Amino acid sequence: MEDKALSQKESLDLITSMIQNTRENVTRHSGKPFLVWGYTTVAVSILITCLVYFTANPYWNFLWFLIPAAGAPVNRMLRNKNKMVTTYVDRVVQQIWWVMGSGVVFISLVAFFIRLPFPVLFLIILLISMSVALTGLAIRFRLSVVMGLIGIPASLLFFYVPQPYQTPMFALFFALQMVIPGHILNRVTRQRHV
Amino acid sequence: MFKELDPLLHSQLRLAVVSILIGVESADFVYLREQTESTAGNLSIQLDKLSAAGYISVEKSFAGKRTRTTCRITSTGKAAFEQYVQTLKEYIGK
Repeated sequence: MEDKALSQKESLDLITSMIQNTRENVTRHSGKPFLVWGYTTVAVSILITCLVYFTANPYWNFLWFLIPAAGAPVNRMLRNKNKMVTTYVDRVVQQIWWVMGSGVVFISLVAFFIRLPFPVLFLIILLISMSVALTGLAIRFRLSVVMGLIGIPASLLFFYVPQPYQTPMFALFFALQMVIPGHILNRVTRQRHV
Repeated sequence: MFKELDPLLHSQLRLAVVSILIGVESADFVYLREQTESTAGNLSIQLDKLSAAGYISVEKSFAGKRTRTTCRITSTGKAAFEQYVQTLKEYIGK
């Protein structure tokens, strides 16, 4: 492309094509944060389930804090790498998860000091489901919207499932709401760019 | 009587840059170079012209050991682009 003057029609065609190209390019690798947080949470949940089951020591629950400790730097590293363009949608999604993450960390800390009258994982899954649905709406990815909306009423299951099964169920929620949609989202955006 | 098209935007490369920046919050130099298929030297000159007119802001930072140039459209740039498109529509619809 050079510094040449254009006819009116060429100008309009150029504007249309640049806006269209940019819209298609920026959706690439959108599933990465879903995969980072999804896999980290599933791995930590399974680890805690096994450790608590085999040792009967509830202090292993402190390992929940591994999720932000491991997930945040990995997510930051992957986000910055080759991130050449930032959209308004990126910022909205980032802010949704920043608010949700703060809420989850806060409620997790509270649960360590105060005995809550409800299962803490219920509240966390409720917050995550709402954020998944909002993210799906922002990036226009229907599967995330559906999984998020299903997750909201499904979070009530934590009131009925016995305590030892709650942690593996938590992992299952993350697999269904983040890992699987993350892979599908990446595949869809990859195909769009072939 | 038609308005004159903004000469700063009525050039292939500068219009392409502004068209990209209008749809994003920020884009870096490498991205703009790839999308516009331009040379680094030419793109750099055109970015300077747009920046001097206040249409875009250019921020230089470091990403590891490399310098990174990030461009954003300004409110002046947005207004100029909207005016440019409006004038184009008038020309084409004449």
